[in-house]
Amino acid sequence: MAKAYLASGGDLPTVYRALIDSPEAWAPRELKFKNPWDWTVSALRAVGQTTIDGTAAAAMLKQLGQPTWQPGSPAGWDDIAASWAAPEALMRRVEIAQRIANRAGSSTDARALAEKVLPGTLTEATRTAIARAESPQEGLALLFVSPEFVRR
Amino acid sequence: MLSRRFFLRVGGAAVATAAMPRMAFARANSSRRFVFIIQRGAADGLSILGPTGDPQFDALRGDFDQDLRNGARLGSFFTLHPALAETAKMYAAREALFVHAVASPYRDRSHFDGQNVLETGGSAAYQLKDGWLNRLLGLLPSGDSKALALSDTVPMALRGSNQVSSYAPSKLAGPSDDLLQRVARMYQADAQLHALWSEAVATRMSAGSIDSNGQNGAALGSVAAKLLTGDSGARIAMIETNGWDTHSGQRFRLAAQLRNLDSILAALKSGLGADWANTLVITATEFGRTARPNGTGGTDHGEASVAMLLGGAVAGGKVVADWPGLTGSALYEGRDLKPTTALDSLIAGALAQHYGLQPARTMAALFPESRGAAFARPLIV
Repeated sequence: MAKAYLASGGDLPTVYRALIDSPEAWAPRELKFKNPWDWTVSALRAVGQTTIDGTAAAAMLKQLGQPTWQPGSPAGWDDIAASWAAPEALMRRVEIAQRIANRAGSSTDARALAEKVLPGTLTEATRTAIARAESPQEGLALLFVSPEFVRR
Repeated sequence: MLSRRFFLRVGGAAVATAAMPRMAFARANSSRRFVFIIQRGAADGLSILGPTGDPQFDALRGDFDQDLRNGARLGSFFTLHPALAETAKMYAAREALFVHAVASPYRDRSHFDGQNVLETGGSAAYQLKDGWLNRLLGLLPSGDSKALALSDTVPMALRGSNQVSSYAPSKLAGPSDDLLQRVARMYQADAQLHALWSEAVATRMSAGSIDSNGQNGAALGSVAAKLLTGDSGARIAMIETNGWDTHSGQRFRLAAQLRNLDSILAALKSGLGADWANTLVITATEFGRTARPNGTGGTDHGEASVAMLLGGAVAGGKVVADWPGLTGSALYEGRDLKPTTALDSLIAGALAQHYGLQPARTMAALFPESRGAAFARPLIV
């Protein structure tokens, strides 16, 4: 895309064409590690929650490493995986996943939900991990931290 | 002079009027308490209460029976796991009764489905949409039926048309040991996540913030006891415990789980004080585990397990079991302890005796799909 930009002297439609022609754009697998905001929203939406208390959300996102309105630079949040995919950040996601799963209760069947929110990309390893979970809530937590779900 | 029967018919709400405050007060004080502790993950009954008197036991269990070496001997046949130290004292004081080789009607080995049967009281998974503990509330006079779940949401057993509330203790547990292990397994094939996760766990462990299960049984038990005391307090509580699914590292992990459960029970007893005499606690799990250990120092899913009845109200100091034996032909499908007592029947019988309800009516209300009868042997004093 950078090459297309330079070669065309800044013609954006050329860059867009390069984007659409690139194989990565059409890869069926998730490749990009979700940033905390995307991950939290997708997890909550998966359990049917469409609103969240502002204070609770701010606290949660701070724990996940994306403090609301405090990106630390005027350039805002970046979308490089290395900024988000860090050991402690991953541990925090597991904690929050457990919390969200516990709040969702045992009425959600994580096995069915996994098929619904990850159609075509759910791997056998994740499917098995969820099915073998000790309790419905644990299954849900595992879904939220599965490799397919932490990426987009 | 109003009789107790009058109040039972009229119901608690009508009694709590300005006209009769003292009678409502007195009724609430003498109310029975019931606590249901669910063990999620299929707890290994053969290790919790080992049939050490069974000739096949040592050979089947390999070195697992070493755990029972220092356990309390209950009669000549059974030994209680030493991690249940306070529970053993309750047994000696006739406040604990164990029922072995007991199982719900469920015979497959899936946690989700098994827990659904355990909590809904159906004879198959997803057959009933509410829980037996909620249906129990409909059988009790309203003064006895204020129910509370100690968790973030209302568990299936307490869900239904009768109103309940829930309370989550404010100190949130960290991710359980079990969840951490499962995440590690799930990330094995993913290079990026595997590397991140290994580092995260190593850092946490060296910082010492990962304890055996993130659970604090003593705190949970005393919160529950506090909520169950007082005139306007709850009378029925449900406590959820996890981490019983010991496919590996069982000897260490089960001991930790049992210590936690023991703390919950001890804290309940001491917190309830004089009310312990009117209390019944039942612990149950969705199914048991294999008689033989597997290749990873654990056991796999099985059938029958052990259930416990505790409390001052219990006719304790005995183990109730129609012991099927552990020979190859006696084991269910050649691998699991065979169920000989129905958990449904046990729960209905215990509750009918505890609350003075008609056994048949209790059985029909709590376990409508069952064709069995409520457990008739005396469980409650």
